[in-house]
Amino acid sequence: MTAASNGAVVSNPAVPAAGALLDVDDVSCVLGGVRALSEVTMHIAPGELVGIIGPNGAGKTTLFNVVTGFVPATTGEVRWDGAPLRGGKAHRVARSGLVRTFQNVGGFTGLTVAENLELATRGRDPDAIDRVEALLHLADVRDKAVEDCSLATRKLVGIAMALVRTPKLLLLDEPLAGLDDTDRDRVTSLIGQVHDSGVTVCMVEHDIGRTLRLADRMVVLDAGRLVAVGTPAELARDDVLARNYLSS
Amino acid sequence: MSARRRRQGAGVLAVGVVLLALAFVVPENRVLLLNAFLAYGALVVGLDLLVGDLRMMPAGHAAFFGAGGYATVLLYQKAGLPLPVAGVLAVLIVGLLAALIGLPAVGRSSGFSFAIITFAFGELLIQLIANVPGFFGGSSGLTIDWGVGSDMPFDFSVYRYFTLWLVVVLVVVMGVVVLVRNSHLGLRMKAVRADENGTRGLGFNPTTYKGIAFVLASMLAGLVGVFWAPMNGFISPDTLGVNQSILLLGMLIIGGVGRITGALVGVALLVTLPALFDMDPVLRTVLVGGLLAIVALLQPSGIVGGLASLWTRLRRPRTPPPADGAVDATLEPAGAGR
Ligand SMILES: Nc1ncnc2c1ncn2[C@@H]1O[C@H](COP(=O)(O)OP(=O)(O)OP(=O)(O)O)[C@@H](O)[C@H]1O
Ligand SMILES: [Mg+2]
Repeated sequence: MTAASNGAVVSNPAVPAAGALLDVDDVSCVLGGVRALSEVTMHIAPGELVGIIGPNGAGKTTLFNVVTGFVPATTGEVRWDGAPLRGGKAHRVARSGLVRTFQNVGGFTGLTVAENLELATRGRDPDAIDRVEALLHLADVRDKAVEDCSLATRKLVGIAMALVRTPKLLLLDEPLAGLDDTDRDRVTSLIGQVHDSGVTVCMVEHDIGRTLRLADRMVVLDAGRLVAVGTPAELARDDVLARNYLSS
Repeated sequence: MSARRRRQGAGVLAVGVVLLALAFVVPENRVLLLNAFLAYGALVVGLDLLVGDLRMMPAGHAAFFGAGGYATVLLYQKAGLPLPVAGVLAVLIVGLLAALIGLPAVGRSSGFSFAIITFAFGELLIQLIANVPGFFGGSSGLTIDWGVGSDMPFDFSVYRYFTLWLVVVLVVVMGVVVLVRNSHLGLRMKAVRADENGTRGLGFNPTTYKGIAFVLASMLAGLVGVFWAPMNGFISPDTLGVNQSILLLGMLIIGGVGRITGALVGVALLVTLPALFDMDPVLRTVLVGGLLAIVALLQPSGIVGGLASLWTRLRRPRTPPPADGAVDATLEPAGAGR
């Protein structure tokens, strides 16, 4: 554990874990005059489940956009699987096993659940579709248009579309938003299962309680800056952090 | 999905058979009208690949029809190629032109620049034809003398002979559209329409699919021109201007975007009916404008779209929409009524 510039808890943010899957090095990102990310450094090691929290506008989604090639970093470097991801085109990044979901609801409207999954596998992996449909209990709704599905189901479709592509690193942007407690528990345990099956996961969430229970490591962002990195227990031990960011 | 493809394929063939029969029985003074229906039908059905499947609004679709016609005539008359060879080459040339125009046009995320660039292409073509009269025939057009006419099969007139070909063209265009819509390519196109960024996240480039659709739809329009120009015996820049392109969009939107029947109903309403009833051209313009306004205000899915949703509502009058997950719904006895 080390102290960041603002005095918060940070465990070795600048030292890349040996063989990290994703390295974010001193990344800043300016969008329309807004400094959405300021000198953010973080790493994700294979097999981890990392939770990212922070208030609205903290830059969480922007961080996902930068590492997946949707938005270029203004300064700094992102390395994915050891190789620099410089001006990477989003569709190329997506094909390399770095798979994300979007903050809004999952699935393309106008397509059925099954068609969405077929699209996600690029039509090449029907076995993966069967497997994921079983895992997420989507078989009953497979022939339904996604826009006719409940919010919870659409969220699951979004996650399923990521899973059928057998990601190396799965980035989930607010997978629990908009769900009731029952569905939150269900999706949370599914994420746990996916992680247990060997997928490295990084999730952005406002549901801090469930994220703390799930994550191996937490990253706290605020106003584009990295405030803290550490295990849930480490963060909870710091009174200021706990008061400002961990109570929902 | 393959059941749907079979059903729609059978529909295409059925329409083809009916039109073929019509080619034999339609009175001689109505043959040109039937040809116009077939040609406009093929143009509008092909245009729907862009409008219906991708929400792309080209303001220059007629230009590719014209380019196909001009290329055929020039290759036949000036280069001395046999008509079938000229036609095949013409479709390829149109594809190349579309790729050149499409490259800068489809990559823009704004539909506005796409409309502007395609509009500019049409106007450029007209200027080119008007300013190089020695080669392109100028603004008064080119007359085609293709030296056939007396020994047609079934003792058909030249116009009626081309009816057969135009039926084939329409069937081919409908067939391509059905194939695309029921393929993985069609799935990707639907996804691009719904959310471009989402498709990037899945690992494919939306620009690629918009480009493929643009080139394909333009080549289909060129194919219509390949048969229309020799049928008509004459081609002029009037047929490829922006007013023609807008008329094509109007027919599609009024009939109903996204389905072949919509495109054909739009053509029947705006081309066939006014001619059958000898409608005054001014009245026809009013009809087009009025129908467009009504559709835009009341029924954005067009006449056929409106009828289709009415039909689904009438067919299932009292069944509530099934609950999500459908588990609860299936446990209830049918018609239990909530
Ligand atoms: N395209 C853009 N143009 C200008 N500013 C932007 C753009 N995208 C994001 N921002 C700004 O960047 C900051 C970070 O936004 P971001 O969406 O990353 O936050 P977030 O942490 O995901 O918030 P939330 O929890 O609400 O999803 C915000 O101030 C936002 O207004
Ligand atoms: Mg966000």
